[in-house]
Amino acid sequence: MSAHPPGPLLRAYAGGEPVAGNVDAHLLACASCRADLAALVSPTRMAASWEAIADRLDAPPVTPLERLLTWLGLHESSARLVAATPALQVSWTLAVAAVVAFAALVARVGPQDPLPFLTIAPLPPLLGIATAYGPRVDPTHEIGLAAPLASFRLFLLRAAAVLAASTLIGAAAGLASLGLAWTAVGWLLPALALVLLTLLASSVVSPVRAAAGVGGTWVAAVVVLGRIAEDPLVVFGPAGQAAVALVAAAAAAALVARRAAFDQGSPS
Amino acid sequence: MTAPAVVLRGVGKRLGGRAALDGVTLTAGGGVTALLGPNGSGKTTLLRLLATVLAPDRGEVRLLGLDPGDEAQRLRIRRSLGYLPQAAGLHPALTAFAFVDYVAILKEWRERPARHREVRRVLHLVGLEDVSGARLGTLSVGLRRRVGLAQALLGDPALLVLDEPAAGLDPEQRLDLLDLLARLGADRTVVLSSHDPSGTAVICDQVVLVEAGAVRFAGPPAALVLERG
Repeated sequence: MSAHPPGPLLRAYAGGEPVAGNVDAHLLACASCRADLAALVSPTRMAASWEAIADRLDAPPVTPLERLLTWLGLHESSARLVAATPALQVSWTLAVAAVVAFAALVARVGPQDPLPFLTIAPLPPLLGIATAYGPRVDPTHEIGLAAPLASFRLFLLRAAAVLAASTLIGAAAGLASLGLAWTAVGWLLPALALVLLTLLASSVVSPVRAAAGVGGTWVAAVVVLGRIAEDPLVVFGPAGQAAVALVAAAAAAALVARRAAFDQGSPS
Repeated sequence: MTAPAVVLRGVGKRLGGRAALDGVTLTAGGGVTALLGPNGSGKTTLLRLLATVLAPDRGEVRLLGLDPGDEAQRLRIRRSLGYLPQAAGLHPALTAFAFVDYVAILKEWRERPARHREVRRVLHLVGLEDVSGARLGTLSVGLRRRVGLAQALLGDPALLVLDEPAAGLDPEQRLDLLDLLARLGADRTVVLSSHDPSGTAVICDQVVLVEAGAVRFAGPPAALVLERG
């Protein structure tokens, strides 16, 4: 064993100052010096050290997704709410799987008929939202209702996360299949409107029913309006996009007005 | 003199087309109040109402002196409320620490160091510090119930609403829980439901007998024994 470090050196070490020599190695081997050191370390620093060790042992590790969300500006606690929500992981998986399956379908159909792509592309985010919130998909739903963090905010946070993920993948699939044509992005505004309508309808019925109802109505509207106008893509043209934007704005306003409906005993 | 933490007057609630609660009048101050009654008697509905997750159809509810029907006051109640639902769903893939940490965020513990200190405190309080890193799916029913209790204790709430906290516990764990609840009831209001009147009565300041959505008795345990034999 090396020589015992003198008192001033041990005090400097305890204070966190850089010290010459291998004090660490000596402390590991010398119980007497460890006892001397413990008496020199301030209780505050000792508590902080213990907390850091305990955190390493039992706190959940920060996932790459949390790091990404924090880097994008989300608070650490919100990033954890998004990343640690098992229900959301299921939602994401479903939404992403639907988008990937859809992309494969589009690749088979080809760019000559963009209608299937434009009609179906806004739907995967609805699937994600349907499984992101509510007592049937989230075991902690009841605990969350009684917590001060607004259920509406939690739902929006999860919906935004699902929407962002599925939109990015959907956009990539569209660009890969259809190239740099307007048809590759013509579904984005309808997707936003459908998501807002689904959130709004979820204040009345369960998110699953809301998504099914809104999705079904959307497909029917595209077919019926296309036949009436004798233009299958009428919903995606300039006038159609303007109308969809108006619907999205109205749904957003109504959603804000209905936010209290998420606060107690959600629909099941 | 401070107002009782729980005051209900003529509260009614219909669920699924039938009266789950019918004209319930109840007061609960500091200490432990136990709701007793058969399955389907309305205990869980009553507790969900006290936890602010259900709104009454009629009647008056005051929790911690505040009106849960008002959005701002409901938020203040929730900041002083701990709630363990009957079916406290726990994500099996999360560790005990991660789950309680998740609920802590829902309870507005935003800053990580303070939040983790609080998570450690409540896990220690229910005796789970040694299994805090274990996945919930690997824990026994009794331990999972204690994890549920731990999340309810976050923030040292003034009002604790616990639906069947002893469900699934073995006799020894049940005794430990009763001891913990008795200590918690010393400086706050605890309202719980139980199927075990004899065990629960030991630590209760008040028992409330609920039958068919109505309060049939409310008073000290000894008085219930005298009245019902």
